[in-house]
Amino acid sequence: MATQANPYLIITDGVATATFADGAGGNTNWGVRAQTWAPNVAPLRRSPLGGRGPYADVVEELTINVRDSGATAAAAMANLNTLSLLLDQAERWARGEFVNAVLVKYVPQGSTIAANATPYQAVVLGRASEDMGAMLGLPPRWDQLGMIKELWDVKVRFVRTGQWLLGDQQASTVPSLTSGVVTDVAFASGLGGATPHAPLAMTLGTWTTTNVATLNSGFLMCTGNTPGSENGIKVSTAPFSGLGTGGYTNINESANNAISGANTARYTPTGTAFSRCRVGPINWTAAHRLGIFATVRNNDATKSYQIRAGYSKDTAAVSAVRTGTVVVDGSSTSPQAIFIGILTIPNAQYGDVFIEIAASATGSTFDIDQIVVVCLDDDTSCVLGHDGMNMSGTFGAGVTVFLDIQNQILTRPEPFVGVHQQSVTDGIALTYRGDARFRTGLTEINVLWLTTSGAKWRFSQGGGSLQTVSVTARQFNAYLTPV
Amino acid sequence: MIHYAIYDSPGGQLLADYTHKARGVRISTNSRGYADCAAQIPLSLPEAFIWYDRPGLPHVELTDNGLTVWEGRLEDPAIIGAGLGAAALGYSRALQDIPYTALWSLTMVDDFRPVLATEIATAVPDRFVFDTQNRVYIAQKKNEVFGTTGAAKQAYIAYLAPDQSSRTIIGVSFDFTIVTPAANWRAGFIAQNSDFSTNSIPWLVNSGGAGTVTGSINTTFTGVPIVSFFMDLNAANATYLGETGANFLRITNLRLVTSTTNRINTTLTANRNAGASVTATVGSTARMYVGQRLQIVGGGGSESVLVEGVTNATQFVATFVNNYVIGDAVLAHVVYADEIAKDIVAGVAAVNSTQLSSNATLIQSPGVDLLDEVYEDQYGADVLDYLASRGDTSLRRWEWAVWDDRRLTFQPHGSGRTWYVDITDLEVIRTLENLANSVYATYQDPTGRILRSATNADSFSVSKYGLTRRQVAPASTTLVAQARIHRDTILADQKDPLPQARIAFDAVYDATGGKHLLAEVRAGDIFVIRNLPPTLSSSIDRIRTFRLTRTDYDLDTGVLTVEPEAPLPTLEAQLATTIQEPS
Repeated sequence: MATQANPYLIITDGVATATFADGAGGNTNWGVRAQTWAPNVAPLRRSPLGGRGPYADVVEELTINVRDSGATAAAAMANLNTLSLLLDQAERWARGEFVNAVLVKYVPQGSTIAANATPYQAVVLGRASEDMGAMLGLPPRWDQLGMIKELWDVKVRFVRTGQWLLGDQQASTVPSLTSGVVTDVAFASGLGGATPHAPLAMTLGTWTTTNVATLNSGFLMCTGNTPGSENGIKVSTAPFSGLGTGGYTNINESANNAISGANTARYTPTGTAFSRCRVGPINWTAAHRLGIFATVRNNDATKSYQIRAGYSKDTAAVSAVRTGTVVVDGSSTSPQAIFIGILTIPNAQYGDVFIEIAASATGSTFDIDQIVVVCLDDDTSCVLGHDGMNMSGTFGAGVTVFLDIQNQILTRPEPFVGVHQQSVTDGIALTYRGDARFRTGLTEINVLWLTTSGAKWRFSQGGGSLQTVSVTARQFNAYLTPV
Repeated sequence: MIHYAIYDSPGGQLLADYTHKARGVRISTNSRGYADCAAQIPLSLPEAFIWYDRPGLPHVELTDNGLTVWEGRLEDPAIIGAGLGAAALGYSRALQDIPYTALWSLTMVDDFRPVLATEIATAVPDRFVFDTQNRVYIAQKKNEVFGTTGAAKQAYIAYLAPDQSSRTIIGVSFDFTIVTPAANWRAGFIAQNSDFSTNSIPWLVNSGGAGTVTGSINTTFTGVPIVSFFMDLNAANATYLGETGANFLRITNLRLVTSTTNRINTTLTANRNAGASVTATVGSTARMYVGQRLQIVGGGGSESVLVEGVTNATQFVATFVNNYVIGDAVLAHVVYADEIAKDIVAGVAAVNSTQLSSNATLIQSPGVDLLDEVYEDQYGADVLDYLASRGDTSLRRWEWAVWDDRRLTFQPHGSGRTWYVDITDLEVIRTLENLANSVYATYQDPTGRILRSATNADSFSVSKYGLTRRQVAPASTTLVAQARIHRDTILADQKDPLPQARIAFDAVYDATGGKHLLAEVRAGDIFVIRNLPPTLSSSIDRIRTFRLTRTDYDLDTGVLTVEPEAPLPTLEAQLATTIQEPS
């Protein structure tokens, strides 16, 4: 890419634009005064709340001269009005009003990766604080505007989102994802490597509402990675290595699309105390904080099961760390995806994950198809829980749809999670839990969709066969300082 | 990262994802579970008023990659200058929505009273004498006419369950003595409907002539709100010429119950002749305890015995007056706290199904028989507080809380997770304010008179602190054995002084050294300080290890504040720790 010859700096809502620097070195009607501005650098936020991402919003202050090519004072005031309206609109957008987002776009002189057509972008969020401070500071020489037809030293002060997002989102598609299986999505060479925790969007699909009429609840998991390095999501499937003791056996569930293609683990309680089943080893070298998920089935509507997971280096789990306990009640006797808990392992160790199950009463069984372990060490790992949807009832039969997770980082204050009808702009929102603004830090992501369909352990068609979908990840290159 | 969203109900439709704009978010937990969550959400006035006026009770949930960090109900939406002040409270609040009125078990007799003729037409209470002095007692008056000529002339002394009680009486046990002057005098126990009409007669004795009959009863029947003991002459009219009090019906060791879930109903598996402190062999000694009164019912007689010891799963020790053979019944009514907790949950869930899960999986049983449990217009939270304070047979206190998925947990004190911290600052005061190394219990006789148990003391504690500090442990029971359990639970908990402490630390770890998110720390968890000097005496154990009674997590700053069981008495000092956690 060519070297940027001159700085480029504008704020715009896509309709109105205030150009502080045009990238060509020319005079503009909102010209920024020399040596009055440098982009602030966003720090990590202290808050663990998702916010608009892991980085803090920053305040930008610059000094500009407002004019209109020296033509008339009225035109200069009109340009000032354009700028003030844009800043006002930015704050309205931030508090949720349905107006276009106002973006600040920037290309530093000398950049070789950004250009006027593909600038760095951030969202203007309005004034710097909730106080009475103005976003525009007009100088005392305002009274001379009518004579000199320009207004010098106008102070512009606003808050923007912390990351600079370069150009458009880059998409990468893998055509064949099935639920319960980790799928790697790599981005094109040159992208991602320099992106600190860049915003990520994702679509999964398509399928027809004839083939899959109902979307069950589930979890969509995504972890940042580098091709060739260890995966951020790992799956254990039956037969688990500790079976054969404590009431655990295998049953063949191939007809219900068991992840192993054959067996799932079955727990038949002989009492109401916890009984342990060794799942398998953890052989991560870097992950420390692990989210444990599973697909399970309670085979009795009148009984409840408590389930927890643990980690131990000894097979007897004498020295073990355990998650909290979750309850799977009898409200559903079909396969369902559940969150079990979070384990933290102190060092890169090799040990075993186990699960422990306690029944409220004997006389029934509880099945486990797969255990999913997700590393959750930083914000490049995201798990989104979603509710179900009667897609056939919502869209009608025979409609092609896809699952859509849009960060809407440059367009709306909040993300969108929903089901889209293909070729139709607006989708139907889906209830979700979890930070829907996915992020990636490296050049590859690992994706796993954990969901079920009716009596099937995995996302399946009404006819019984597995439904394959493609996964498309869209990623901005994001920067804290322009390059 | 943590997600903040509002749903139309638990498990319901997502209404708003405010992860990106919630400010000043603080979540707290306390001994009752998720406590409160405060947030300010910048909104336009019309949008803020949508929350203010919205029908229903929205659900606030904070999650982190599947982990529920906090959940509750948006109980107090407020319009503030910048938008919405979203004050949510945890679902333990559901236990303060519906008052609870129920009888579970009763051994006190002072609420029995004679039935009037206006209530039962055949009742002639003025021809009998009644009393409830440690017994239920009916005796004929001298020179009064009794019999069925014209109309029956009967005595009833009744107990009426609390009005609108959610539970009806379905079981009774008692010892009886009947002294009759002639044949056809009857005594019985009647289960009655709310209008005093007879529902069933679980027990009836018809005398064959003058004499005395004694025995013991343990029986069940269809649920009723009223029960009565009665007496009459089932023959032609005759004047009673005996002295008043020479003949009577006397009931002692009475127990009424509204549950038979844990009733002991076993049999002797070996003959048992009369004897003092002898071993009886039964099918199972499950739910038996020392001091418990069992009813032994055989073909040759019946009596109640006090359990003097439980030897093993099939044998107990007691003193028997009569001889019994294999197959004779061994019975007792037993009511446990978990039954009551489950009933409270079911009652709340039936009225407010979205506010509390009806699932009782996490409700454990303390295994302590509760003898006198009558609740009138009390909130479930208060009842559970009381039940938790009763402890268990291992002398542990119990706790209750409502955590994830609105499920009630009822479990031994200190069942939370254990966290390990390295303190960077410590301030601790050893105070004797809460020391109790000598404790006695108060309980009641069947008339409500306060009785006092023997005092139990911890001699080591008395010696160590050079002081006997005695405390009373009030127990709602007529059984001294149960009062002793309550007494000893208090003693075990308070024999060492609880230090008041303030600590500061940088991070929390689990037993294997794994570092955890601060959001995972909850009230009820245990903190263990790893870096106190190992040479200190064992008296520091309550500093080294303590239980959290409150956590307060500021999501804006990443600062976690925890409050130990006994915080320092100033507001500043109650901030047990402040640490920051990077994103």
